[in-house]
Amino acid sequence: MNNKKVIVSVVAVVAVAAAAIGIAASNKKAPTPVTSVTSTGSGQTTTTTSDTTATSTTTTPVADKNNVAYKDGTYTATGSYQSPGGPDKVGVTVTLKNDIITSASVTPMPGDRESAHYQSLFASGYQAVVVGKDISTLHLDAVSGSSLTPIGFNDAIAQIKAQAKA
Amino acid sequence: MNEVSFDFKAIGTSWNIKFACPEQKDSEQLISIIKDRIAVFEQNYSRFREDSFVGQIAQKEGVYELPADAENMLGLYRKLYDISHGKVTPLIGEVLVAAGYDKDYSLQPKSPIPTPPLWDEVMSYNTPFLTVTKPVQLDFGGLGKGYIVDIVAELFKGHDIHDYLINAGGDIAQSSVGGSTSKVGLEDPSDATKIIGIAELLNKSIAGSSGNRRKWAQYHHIIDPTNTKSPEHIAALWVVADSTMLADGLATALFFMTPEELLKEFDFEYCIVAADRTVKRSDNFPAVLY
Repeated sequence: MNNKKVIVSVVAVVAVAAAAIGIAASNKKAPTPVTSVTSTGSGQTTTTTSDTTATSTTTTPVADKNNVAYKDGTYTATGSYQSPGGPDKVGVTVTLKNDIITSASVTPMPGDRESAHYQSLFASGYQAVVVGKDISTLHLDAVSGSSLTPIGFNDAIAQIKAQAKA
Repeated sequence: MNEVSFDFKAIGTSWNIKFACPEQKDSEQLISIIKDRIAVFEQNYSRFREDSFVGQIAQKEGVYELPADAENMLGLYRKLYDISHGKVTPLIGEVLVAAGYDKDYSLQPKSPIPTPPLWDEVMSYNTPFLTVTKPVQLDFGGLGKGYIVDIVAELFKGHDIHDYLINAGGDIAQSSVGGSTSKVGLEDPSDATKIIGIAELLNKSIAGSSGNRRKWAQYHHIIDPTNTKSPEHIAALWVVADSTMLADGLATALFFMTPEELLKEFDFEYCIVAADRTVKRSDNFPAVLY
């Protein structure tokens, strides 16, 4: 069991959320969150700290088919960051199943007026930040997305899978 | 029953059709009928073909007798045109061409970009006759792909086939007598190798739209006729409805109107991913999002 990787993954999601809030709240400087992670799924409680100067790319953990790297469960993290208006927080909940993020939700907890404005946008119906999941691990009947799905798309997927195996 | 799945390319997109073919039916013949029907549709409505009636109307005013299937499309277009105050319009063709989305895919915007004419100033439709008072560049792209999917679904029903999944580049109709859902990945608007959720489709249609493909200069395939700009506030959206044409048309309209406004007129479920990747969805949009 590698809890650290789970934490890293969750922190990455927080980083995305924090970055989104940073942008929405009128171009604040890059926030520097201190993140505490509580794992409710495994029954363990872990605390760590991190910052978001690292890349905000969210990676979905991929494991050997027979050997999952992470315990299934719902993990909640609270990120805080320093904004010009004072400290702000954001809550993130991620559900893992078979090493795949099956859901993620973000709850903003604004401390200043601009962040409150951002929260009001959430209140009007825009609720959670979506994360992408690698398509190659899934069995799908179809994909719907852009108005045109070019022939080259499937070729690209095949190439990526081949490269990932190399 | 034989499970048949076939892929082909038509109307500028990739098709995949799966269906349960009864033993006594010739699946090859069915496939051929379907492809022929799509070819007829393309010949009639493609903005990219000069021999299409759309191509003829772009060259000369007059009275044109339209194919029977024009009625459904123009009917929905008119309704969307009225409630969107002209923003959803088949007359957007001229704007798309000027912006560079032409039959040669020049993708070189001209300057200035014209605003499209008002519907009632240039054309009137009394089934089956369309009268245009000047040459106009029609474009059925806002719902036409959804409609040809519905036409293929009707072909299946006409052959007493009721288990199918028809996918034209992401505009999809699904039918299952036994109640088997199909899993439809919702493509991540910023990374086509990822999805942001999975919709479970059963006896419904889904259509999606986003600005991430067919993007050129400052445009994507949807342009607001009132300011000739492409809306940038939405990264991607999906609509689930009873018909693919309706889902497709509403997916276009949602770039210009709120779902609340459209729900007064139509039954549908929606999922909208804003440019900042926050999501707004209807309670019964049948998907798990990540």
